[in-house]
Amino acid sequence: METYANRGQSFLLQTQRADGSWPYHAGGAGYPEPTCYALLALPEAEVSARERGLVWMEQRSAVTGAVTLENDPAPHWTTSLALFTFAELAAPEAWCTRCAEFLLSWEGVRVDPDPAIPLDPRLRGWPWTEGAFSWVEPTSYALLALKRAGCGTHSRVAEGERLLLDRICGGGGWNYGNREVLGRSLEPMLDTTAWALLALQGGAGVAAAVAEGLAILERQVTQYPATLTLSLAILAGEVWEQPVEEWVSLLRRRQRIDGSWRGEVHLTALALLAMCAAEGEGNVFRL
Amino acid sequence: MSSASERRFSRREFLKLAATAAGGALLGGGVLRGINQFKQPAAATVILKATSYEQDLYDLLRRGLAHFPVLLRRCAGARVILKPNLVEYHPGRQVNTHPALIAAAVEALRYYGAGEVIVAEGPGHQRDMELLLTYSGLEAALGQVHVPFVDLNLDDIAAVPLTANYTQLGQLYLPKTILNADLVISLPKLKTHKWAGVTLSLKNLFGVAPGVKYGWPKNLLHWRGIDNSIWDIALAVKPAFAIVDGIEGMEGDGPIYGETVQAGVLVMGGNLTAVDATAARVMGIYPEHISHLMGMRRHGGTVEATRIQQLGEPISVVQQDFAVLPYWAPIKRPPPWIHRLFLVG
Repeated sequence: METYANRGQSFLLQTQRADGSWPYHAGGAGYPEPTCYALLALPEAEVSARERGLVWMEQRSAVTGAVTLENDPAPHWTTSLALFTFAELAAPEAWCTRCAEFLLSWEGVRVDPDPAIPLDPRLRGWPWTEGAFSWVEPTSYALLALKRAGCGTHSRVAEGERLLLDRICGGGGWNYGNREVLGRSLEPMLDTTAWALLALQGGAGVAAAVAEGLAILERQVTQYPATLTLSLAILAGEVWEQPVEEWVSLLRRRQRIDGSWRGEVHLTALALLAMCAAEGEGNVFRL
Repeated sequence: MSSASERRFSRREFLKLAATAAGGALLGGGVLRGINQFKQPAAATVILKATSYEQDLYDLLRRGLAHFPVLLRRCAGARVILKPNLVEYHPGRQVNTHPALIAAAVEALRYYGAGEVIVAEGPGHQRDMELLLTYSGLEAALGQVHVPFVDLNLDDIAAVPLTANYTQLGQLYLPKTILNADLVISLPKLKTHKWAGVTLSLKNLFGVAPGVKYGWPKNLLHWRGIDNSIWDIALAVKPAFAIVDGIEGMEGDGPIYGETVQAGVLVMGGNLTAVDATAARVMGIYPEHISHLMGMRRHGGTVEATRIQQLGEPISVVQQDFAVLPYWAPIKRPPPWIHRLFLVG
């Protein structure tokens, strides 16, 4: 009998491009984010698909260690995802070293203190793009990747964790980057909160922040269930040993007849990773 | 006897000359700018009263669009992208362009012969598009009119050289869905904005910048200046038309945390600067204070009220008094005439 996992994996295999990469949607151009998640979600037995995908990712980061998009030399935010994937799939050490060295040298633009946007501007995290500020999500990606790649004791990691703790919204959880703007407390967002919870694994003094973040997920995920949010909440909840059964059931119901979640590669891969974690078969983001 | 070149100016003469020169320069530059101001192209905008999302918006839009024969000619057989404003989902807050209006616009454009209509957006904050589409009601509304939705954040992208290059980025990455369109129509919400003063059809174009390149939020563009980014995006995308959803707008701490205003209008037109200037006036805001609108005068945008042919309802009939954050208070006051005519922009 075909399981949700078989069907999801079939969808991933069918959408892999000839060059080894994955698009966001079937027929689209290859991008690093769906490629990394698809690689993480495919079983070890899919040797050829994994190898071709890894080679494509390596080509994207071969020059400086920074992942770049086609015809765009600028460092891309998926460098962290590439490092995480290389480390998780035991890619050659040189690939990991190159990416890790780049990540450790990359930082968001620093800002002067501004009472309109209260935060600690000295803290360095990671930006989405070169020349931009440090935000919660790319910083979380970088922390996860560096920890997975064995760089967890680097001072940038500790600083990145402090940055996440500095950006917590008034009532807990994380918005995309700020906690307050012009006197207005920002509201937490579910996907960024889940990523920050994953990134804070092993961090010092994070217990209260984690408890608040988990409480936000528990209160809000079932209010507005959607594939990305459910998948990330399951992955974060499982890591922090929260009950996730209700979320799993909501996520499972969203799988389409073609095995995908919403026909999107990155969502399908994340949903498969979440289901796998919930079923005790291993949480890829557990450090 | 001294030669002319050796002549010394008395202090009185020098001061007189200096004052004349300075005045001449001021007047000369000002007059030039003033003349430039008068060169703003004539533009037509239509204001329609619309009290509710329950009413027949399709019929209303068809009647409104009928005022724009050039658009309708371009529409025939065209691939049209409707770009609404979808930012975040907050129940009870009028953050997003209403699904009923978007669906009605799809149908109205089809009525006028559009070959293909696609609704497309790339939210700047919310990555979970399914959450946004589902709970805003847009997915259901689009399903009813059988129109596809494209997440511009995850679309295939291509670099476009910047002609004016205000951001100094040299090129901008844009979604191919936008680049392959025959017509891009901006469908913003009538809102105040804490960083830009107002967010209307031009600011709405920020959403075409793909997250896959610029992230969430599209912070690089903020660093390069909101005005600069708006100008560069507008010049690269060349939107053909705008329809502002002002049935319910947002005042105060927009674009997300403000309060709802029952403004009861739609504003539309083919000169987006004129549409936005008109919509700002509907909000009781002087567009002459909005720098991204004034800057668009360099590129054919029309702000001056006397250059805008106002069709449908007069502004005075529908005008409201939208609250703004305290530091935006000056945009509610008329600019000094000298400022308006010569010195702005």
